[in-house]
Amino acid sequence: MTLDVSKATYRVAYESFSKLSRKVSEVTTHEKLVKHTGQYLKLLFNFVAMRVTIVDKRGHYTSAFPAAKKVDLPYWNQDLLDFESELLEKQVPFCRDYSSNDVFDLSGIEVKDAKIWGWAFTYDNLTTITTLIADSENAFTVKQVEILRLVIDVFTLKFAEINAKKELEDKNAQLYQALNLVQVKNERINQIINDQQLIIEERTEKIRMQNKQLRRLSVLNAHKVREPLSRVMGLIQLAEHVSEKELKEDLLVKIQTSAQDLDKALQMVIEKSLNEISEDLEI
Amino acid sequence: MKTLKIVLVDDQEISNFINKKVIGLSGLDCEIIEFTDPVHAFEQLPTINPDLILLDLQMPVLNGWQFLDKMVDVSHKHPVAIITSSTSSEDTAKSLTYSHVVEYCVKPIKPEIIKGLAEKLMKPVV
Repeated sequence: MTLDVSKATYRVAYESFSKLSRKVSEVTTHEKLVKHTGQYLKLLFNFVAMRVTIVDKRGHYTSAFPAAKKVDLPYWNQDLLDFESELLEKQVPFCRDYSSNDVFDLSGIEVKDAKIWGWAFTYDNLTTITTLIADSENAFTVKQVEILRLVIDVFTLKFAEINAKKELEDKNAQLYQALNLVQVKNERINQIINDQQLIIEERTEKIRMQNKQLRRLSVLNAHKVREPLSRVMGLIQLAEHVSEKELKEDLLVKIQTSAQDLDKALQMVIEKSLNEISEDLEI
Repeated sequence: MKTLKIVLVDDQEISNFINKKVIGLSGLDCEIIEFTDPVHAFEQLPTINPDLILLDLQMPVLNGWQFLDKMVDVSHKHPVAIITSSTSSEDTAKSLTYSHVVEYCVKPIKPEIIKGLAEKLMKPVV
């Protein structure tokens, strides 16, 4: 008879665990994970109240069952209870007797012959602290530890997966933001480049105009200035071929006229150069 | 040796004076007609029918290039020697584009230049 009951219990537990596994595999949030897990716990092992605290590098996250009991007492509100800190530190599981009063003060539940069980289950990057209140009516036994362990495994791994997904989403969002920023900066850079291009073109045009003017000035020099000079040179060349009289009365007068023309021409060119060049120095 | 008929076109009287003297020093037998008004000079070309024209570039109203263009327009084939104070290579290059320009000379010219021109004119045109 005991065997049959035990077999039946085992089958129920196994079926429930299957269902729990399947349900949990579909959840995407912590809230749903806690909710669905809570729905199956009583079918899997005996307990009055339970706390599962997952501790990772960032901190700890506590879920308490049954969820209905949201009472303002330590068992439902406090982050880490004393014996849980002890578990985290020493990693030695325990099973202790507690007085009904103590359990009531802790959780607000009335119990008879209370026991508190505690485990520290370790995984790759996290530890799950599990504590459980049982009494004579809901007697948790050593035989049930295995299935409890399985539930904690499923719970923890799903929890870690949800975290990882959230982390990935956050990182993606950050990347996206960074990408946007880069794009904005790129546009700004392109704008600046375009503006500079325009400025360069403007200045190039100004320089082109300046060059034109300078060229005109050179042409002016070539003709206007050299003309009277060539006359002076030509007259001087003739000097040795004419009589003294012609030299004095004719040639020298012509030389003087030409020299004066040269002076005028140079002055005009100098004035023009100064005017035109100083005008365009503002870029 | 036939007398060379030379027309001088320069807006500066002194330039024409100098060129006339230089031609005299070359020892050639020349008849020289000088102009300070290029428009008038152009009009007289058919009448005078010179053997050579010494042409200045920088003149008001009608400059040397315009004078040459007008000659081309009416097919005047008188040989032209450009006598100018300009040393610019642009002007030198431009002068080559006129088929009847035989020389580009920079002022002040020397008698040897005139002799050289005379010899050039004697040669039969190829």
